[in-house]
Amino acid sequence: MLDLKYFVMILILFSLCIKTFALEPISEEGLAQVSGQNGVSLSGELSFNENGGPLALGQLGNESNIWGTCAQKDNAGAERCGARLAIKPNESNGWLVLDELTGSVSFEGLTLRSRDINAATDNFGGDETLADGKTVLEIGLPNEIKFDNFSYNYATSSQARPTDAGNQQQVRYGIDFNGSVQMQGNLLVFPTGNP
Amino acid sequence: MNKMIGLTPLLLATLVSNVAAEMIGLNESTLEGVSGQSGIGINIDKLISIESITYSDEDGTSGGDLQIQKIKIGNPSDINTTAYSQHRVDVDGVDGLFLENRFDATRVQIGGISVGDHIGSRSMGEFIFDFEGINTLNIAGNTAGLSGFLINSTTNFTNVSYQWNTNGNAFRAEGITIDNVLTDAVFEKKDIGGGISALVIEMPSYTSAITINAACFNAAGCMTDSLGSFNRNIALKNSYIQIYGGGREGEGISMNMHFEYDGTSSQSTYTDDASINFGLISGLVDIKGLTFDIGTAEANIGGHIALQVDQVVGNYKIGNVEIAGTGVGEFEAIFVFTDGIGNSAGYQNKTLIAPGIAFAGQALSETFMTSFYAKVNDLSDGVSVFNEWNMTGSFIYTDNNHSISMNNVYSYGSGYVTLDLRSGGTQSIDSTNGAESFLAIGIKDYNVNYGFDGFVIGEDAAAQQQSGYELLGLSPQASFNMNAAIEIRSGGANGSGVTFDGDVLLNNANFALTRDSATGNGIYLDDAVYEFHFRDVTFDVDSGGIQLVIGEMWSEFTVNDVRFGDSIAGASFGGLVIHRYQAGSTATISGGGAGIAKCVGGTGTDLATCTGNWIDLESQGLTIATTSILLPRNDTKENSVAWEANRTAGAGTGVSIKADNIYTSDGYVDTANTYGIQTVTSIDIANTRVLKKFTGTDSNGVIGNEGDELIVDSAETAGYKYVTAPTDIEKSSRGAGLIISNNVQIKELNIESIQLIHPSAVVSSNTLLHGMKLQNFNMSSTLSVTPIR
Repeated sequence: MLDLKYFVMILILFSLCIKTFALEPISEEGLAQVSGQNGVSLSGELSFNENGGPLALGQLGNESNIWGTCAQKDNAGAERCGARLAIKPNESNGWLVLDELTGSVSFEGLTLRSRDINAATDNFGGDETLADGKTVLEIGLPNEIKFDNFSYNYATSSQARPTDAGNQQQVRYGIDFNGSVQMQGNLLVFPTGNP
Repeated sequence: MNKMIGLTPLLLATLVSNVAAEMIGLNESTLEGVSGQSGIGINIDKLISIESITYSDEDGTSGGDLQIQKIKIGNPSDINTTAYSQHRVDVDGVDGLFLENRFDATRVQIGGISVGDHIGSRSMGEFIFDFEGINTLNIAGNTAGLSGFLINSTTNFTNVSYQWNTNGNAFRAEGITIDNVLTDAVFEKKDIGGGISALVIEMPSYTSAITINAACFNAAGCMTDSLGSFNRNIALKNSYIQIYGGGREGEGISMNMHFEYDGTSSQSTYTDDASINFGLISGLVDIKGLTFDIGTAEANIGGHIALQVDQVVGNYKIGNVEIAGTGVGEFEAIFVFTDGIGNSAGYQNKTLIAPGIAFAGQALSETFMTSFYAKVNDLSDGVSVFNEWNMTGSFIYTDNNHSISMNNVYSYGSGYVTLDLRSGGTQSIDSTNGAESFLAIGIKDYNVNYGFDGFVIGEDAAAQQQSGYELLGLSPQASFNMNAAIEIRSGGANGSGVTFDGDVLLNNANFALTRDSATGNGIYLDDAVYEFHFRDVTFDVDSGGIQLVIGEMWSEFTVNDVRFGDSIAGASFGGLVIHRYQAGSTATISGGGAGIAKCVGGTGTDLATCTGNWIDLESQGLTIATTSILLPRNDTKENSVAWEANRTAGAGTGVSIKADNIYTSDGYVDTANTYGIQTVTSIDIANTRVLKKFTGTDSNGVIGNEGDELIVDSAETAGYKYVTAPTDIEKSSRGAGLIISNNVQIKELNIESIQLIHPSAVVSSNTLLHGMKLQNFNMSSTLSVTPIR
């Protein structure tokens, strides 16, 4: 009814995107405080446009074969098969684009739970004092995240859609990522300031 | 309650035969019909009319009158002509009294049922029961040395129909067959303890089979638009009913009951184009202190029939649930209904039933409720109910021998419901509806509270409590006040089925997103108001499963505080306002889960070769496919999400960030919008790999190294151990987890703008982003959900 699952999916995506933040590794003693009565440990795999998306050859508006399956793209039968997110920062002018997103991400042991922080007994490398006495949403990062053919382009584009008339697009850089990222520690989310 | 329904035809049949026996005069013409080789045969042409029967438990200090009005028994084609029946009565020293009653088509009609101060002004409406068939009743002395009478009875009725009429509109169930067999029941007067002497009916075996061919809101019959067909078989064993005098207050009737299901043949089936089957029903239900009184003092519904129970304890198991022939799994409910304290107030288990529509014509605090009740008046027929409950229990779902238990469930609350029949667009909450009749359900000040501690997945010793409800969209604790106006029409999107319209308001609401069951601390949506409206929502069952189609829905969900910590006093994150607006969205619920074995996060084709997590999703499970068509803004209807913080004097006085005017389209132009957001979610329970997250001792005292694998081992104290390099045999002993497989596809999702809104600024809003467009999105995920250790 309340689509809480989308809230959780957003949290998972969010936690996977914060890999550049400085995170304190949690000590074994800190982890030993974890009691197993609540919360949840998640393992799994997210794959994006493994074979393409729902925009396909033959659709009205796709006469130039812009969208197709990834197999069609490999055979030069279509220009693209990945997901695309376009953002317009200004009222006029163009769009910033995260383009051709494909590939998969897998992880084991991402934990989610609410937790009461006690600075006297919890150890978050000194950060526990900031949340002392508070209930936090604790996102326990999985030790390892595997990326398999995870790729996207960052581009600027004159139009929102690649199929829009007169669209011009310039790819600024592309990422193709295979391998693992070590992610240890916990992300604590809690309110501060005036609500 | 099922048992009551099951016994009703039997009691009715007995009543009918008794009424017939008492009402006949053996005149000469009747005696001419006497035939048979033994005993006495009686043929009756009966036409019975009784102006009213009044039951009273008025004793000077409590109680009142229940009046059953305008009772007629006659021919269904014309109630004022006679109905024919044939009766054979035989008595001998061996078999005792034997009655065989053969009924040609007969109608029993009740013009109205009214209570207390409502008598003479409004009633529950007219009830009509048509039937034909045979009822036998054999009353003999009990086996030598045992007290009481031995009763055997069979009832086989066909062409049965049932009709409820209020205010010129009808609900009709037709094409009903009823086959009941009561075997070797013992009726006796017995001391049941506590100084109570009761009539005790012991039933070693009772079976009841009922088939309803069609049901609709049309007195002329259910030709095209039916709610569907239904059949139900109950087999009870070793059950009993104890009946004794005295009600909750003064005079009245009290009962204790014990029902035990024979799990092999009890089942229920709903059929539209395909069926939902609830099979292999087993378990037992104990009911203590069920009282029947006539009450007078309810503030809103006035005089009423009061049913109250001291305690209902039971477990009820549906051993096989199938949707359109595909297995979902088994469900079990373990429950206790008893008096209790909830939120500092006492709650009992009682239902008060009154004639008429309690809130008809009243000006209520919600505009849509005032409008709903303005369409009837205080003389209209209908039924008003006040219900109060308090229960605790657990619910268990089992899929391919793996189970998930919803632990320590509680629920309590109270509120009013009114039921009546209406017709036409002018009486509907949606004036565009046609002339057809419909059931109008009003829900008034229904205060609902529920919660549960968490899930326990698997039945082995390694199972421990966890959350995971968040991923299923379930709130682990909620309380709200509900007001609703809901209409139910017969006929779905295709042929038979059900169509719903409704306006619903939940206020004073508090929903937990996640919570620690030990401390009660968590993340809560506090002081929430959820108003939603739906139109032309159809329910059908076809070969693809349960099909729901939403003609149109729009809602506003406001949360004054997202709280961390205590549910009503925790630190606030600010407020949320979420608007939703959809048309043409659909949902399909089908049996069977994802049904495929796969190597998640690795490669390999089986348990032994998989380098990641091998998950074998067997045949059972549940799959939900949805299509959400998000429409662009239309007047006040929109899709948007806003978060407000830094408020100075409540909602609307802070700064908001708002994702405004969110809508889907088909990828090339804004105006085509048929694809929406398409999701397929499967829910299974299966064995899954769990890797130790850190080197050392876990929360259950089990030692292992980071990356070791959890293997279930009942010889271990905690029920599991960590193994560095498990063998294939050990891998087959991985613990159970909740497996959620999901695919989301979007052709195009648009956000018109992201705005920063300053309520007191000269410029009311600043646009942060002037548009976002997500295209060609196709995400698949497989998540296994296990406890934190």
